Amino acid sequence: MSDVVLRVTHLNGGYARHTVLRGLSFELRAGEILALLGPNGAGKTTTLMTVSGFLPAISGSVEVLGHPAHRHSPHQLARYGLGYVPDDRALFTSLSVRENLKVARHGGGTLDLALDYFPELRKRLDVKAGSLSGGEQQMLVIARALVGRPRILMIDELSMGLAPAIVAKVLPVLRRISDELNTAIVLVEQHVQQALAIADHAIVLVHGDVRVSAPGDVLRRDPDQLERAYLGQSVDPALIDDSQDVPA
Amino acid sequence: MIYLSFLLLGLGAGAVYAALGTSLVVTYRSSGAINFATGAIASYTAYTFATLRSEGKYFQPIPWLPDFISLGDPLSLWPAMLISLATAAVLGLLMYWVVFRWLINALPLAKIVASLGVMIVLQALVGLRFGTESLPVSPIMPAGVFSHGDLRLPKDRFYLVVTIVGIAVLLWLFFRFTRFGLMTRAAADSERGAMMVGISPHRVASLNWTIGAVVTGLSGILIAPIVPLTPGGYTLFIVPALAAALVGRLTSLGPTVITGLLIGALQSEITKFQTFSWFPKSGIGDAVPFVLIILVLFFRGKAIPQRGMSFIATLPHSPRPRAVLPTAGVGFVVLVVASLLLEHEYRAGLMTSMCAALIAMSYVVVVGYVGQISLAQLSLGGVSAFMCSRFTTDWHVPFPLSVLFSALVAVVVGVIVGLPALRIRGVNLAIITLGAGVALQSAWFNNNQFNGGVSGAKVTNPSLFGLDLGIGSGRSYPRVEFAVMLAVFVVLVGLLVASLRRSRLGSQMLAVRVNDRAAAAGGINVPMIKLVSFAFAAFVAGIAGSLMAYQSGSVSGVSFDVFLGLSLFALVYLSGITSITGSLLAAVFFPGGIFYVVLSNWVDPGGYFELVTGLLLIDAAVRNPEGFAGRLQQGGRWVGRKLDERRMRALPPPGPDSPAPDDRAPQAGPLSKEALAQG
Repeated sequence: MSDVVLRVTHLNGGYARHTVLRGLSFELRAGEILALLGPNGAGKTTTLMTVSGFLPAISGSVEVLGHPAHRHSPHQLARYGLGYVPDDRALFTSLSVRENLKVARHGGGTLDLALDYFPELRKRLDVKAGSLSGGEQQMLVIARALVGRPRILMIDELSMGLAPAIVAKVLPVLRRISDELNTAIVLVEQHVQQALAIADHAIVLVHGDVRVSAPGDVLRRDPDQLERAYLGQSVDPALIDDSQDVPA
Repeated sequence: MIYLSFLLLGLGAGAVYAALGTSLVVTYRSSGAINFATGAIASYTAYTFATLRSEGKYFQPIPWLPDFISLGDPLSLWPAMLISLATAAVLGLLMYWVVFRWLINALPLAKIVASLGVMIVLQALVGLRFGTESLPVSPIMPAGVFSHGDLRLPKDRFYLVVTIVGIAVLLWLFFRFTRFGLMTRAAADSERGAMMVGISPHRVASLNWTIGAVVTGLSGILIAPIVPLTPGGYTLFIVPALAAALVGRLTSLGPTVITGLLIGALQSEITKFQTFSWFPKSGIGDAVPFVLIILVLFFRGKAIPQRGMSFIATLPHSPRPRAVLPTAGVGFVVLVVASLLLEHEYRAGLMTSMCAALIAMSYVVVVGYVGQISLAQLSLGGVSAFMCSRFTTDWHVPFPLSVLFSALVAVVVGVIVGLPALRIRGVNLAIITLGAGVALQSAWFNNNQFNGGVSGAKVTNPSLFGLDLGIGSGRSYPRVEFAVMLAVFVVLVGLLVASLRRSRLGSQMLAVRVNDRAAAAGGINVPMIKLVSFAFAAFVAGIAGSLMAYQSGSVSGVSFDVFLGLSLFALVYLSGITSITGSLLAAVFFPGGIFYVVLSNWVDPGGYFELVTGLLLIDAAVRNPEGFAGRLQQGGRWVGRKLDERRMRALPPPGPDSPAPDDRAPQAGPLSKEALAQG
């Protein structure tokens, strides 16, 4: 399929000798939202760090927009069109909001494009990023990724440290970004129901293993299955769908 | 009015501090490394320039090629300057690509050690080619004096200041308004963030290191006609430059430049005061940067922003000493046997190593156990050495008491040096303690009013119950009794440090090392622990210092030179600053120690010992940022794991009742190791 932007095949990931993630495979197409769910320590952040090139894969392969991830450093992958919003935000705190956006601009992205999705930031353009509220900072990191015109956007723990009202406001914006800009999004979330509300597909990781991989609407209809997956009980085999067996 | 003239006169040196400070800021922002070699780059570039100007020869550093490449006639100003600055640029690039690129995520300590290595190498290269002579450099700036009434200002100082300030303003504009400047500031805030938006950290850092080296080189060239050019002479500029950069919090150019100029002016003013009879004759000027750093850091209390690091690095594990008494017994026997068997210079080398081992142990306590980077331990030894001279000659204090008393004075000074540690951590503390070392050295060790003049400060021969413990002289030098006495001290202090590590206090120190806020939350009196550690370490260094005094018979500042202390610090760090074993290993390789003696009898190291030491330091710091002890421990853990695996295989296979190993049901039970490792 030509519009596959991210292909992860039999990926094992982890830190030094600790394997955290085992045999993850999925494909992501332009305009799709994938929710990566699971309890603490499931390997979600490890997946994002490995895909973005910050962590070498133990085995398996990651292909970002046709580029094998292990051959490129994180900044090159970013230039190819991989946007990454890490859980600790990694903002340029001593730079103003405007500078944060300007320094990230490439690939024809404009400040207006990003600010149209997050109009709240317009009033704060000359404020130092370090003095923004948690919610504003989170918007700024996503906006910063957007001005690089990413074709894949990976967001780690959007809801961490944010008021539920803000999360409820930002998640629909992600759906709009995905639809309007044809951006593929990988969303790592603890708030399962909210993430599922906008996701096309969901993968549940438990202790590094894929427990569920199914379309979002199926899981929305059958929340019991998710609970069983989280608790490590057996789930309906139909929910471990065939996209796991990606041809090598 | 004459006072104002002196102030203005000092702006020349101040401009150089400002330039070096600027360079420190530029390189720190791009790679988080405080480049202690900055002064050495200034001196290297100035030498390149001087030989091009006077003889038309290019000074090249590769040892097996001819020292100089002749370019014909002496070059005129601009070509010479261009070639010299290009050399500086290459030097900056090389330093980043060969050394600091690998250390971006390393401990601040590893970066300090690597830059000390670079400093030693550059200094050795210049020393090898030019010896100790000073090189005359023809003036660059117009001669003459601006005068207004009584007020006089040499034109060259004025133009120097204008040039440096102009460059600083240009740099500020560059970083403020260009895209590259924006990228640099972004990368300084968060390296990971920069990579996430497609910025190559290496490209940013390369250019910044080049800019830093060129600015440094230019200031070296411009000051060469004003301040006599001697090998190592400009290296000390690093201290006032660091003070200036610290005031700018290692991030802003404006305050850095202004402070640099101010320090120069103040120092010059102090030379005027020295004409008064009541004013100390030397050393106060060098104390200015130190006092300034203390005041600014202490009262501002806001630390330098830590450069964004991708991963948290900590000091290697500090192993708990086991079988302390047997080890000490064996060690004592080995040292005594070695003292008996070795003769002449070998025995002297062993003695030097034993003294160095004691200083090294003081580093282990304060840096290895408590994580407070103190660079002044050898200087504290010097305090004790000079006091030992006072105690024994003026006040006739007998031998073991003299060591004790002198060490106690070192403790007092050590606690004062350690006071800033209550508010300041990490690299800032390293800079403060370095400043303290320089202040002690200039105001005391090298001050003719206090240091016993040319012949040095005499020390009375040590004896106990009628037994002569002295090192002897003439044919009897070096006497075995002195070596045995040193061995006793090394073993006793070793036991003391080992029992500290095993004690409750030692555990508290390690807790403070990991995280002082967490330690405080755990009920540990952090300020007390820090001060106790400084006191303990100063006591150990003090014992070493007075023994070194007895070893040489008369104390001179050379033995306690700040840069010698830095080399020892680098050696200890690489041999393993968290364990006594590491300190012993470092002592073996100390300049003048047993390894040096063996080596120099085998091959003549000449000036190459320093060069090779420097290169080895760099290599070791790049390859083992944790130090060799860290590497050894990793090896140990690997062996342990293999043994565990073997034991597991030897176990009978699990029965039907026991859970299968691949059942990863998470319902109950503790978090898995993987989860802990991740989260």
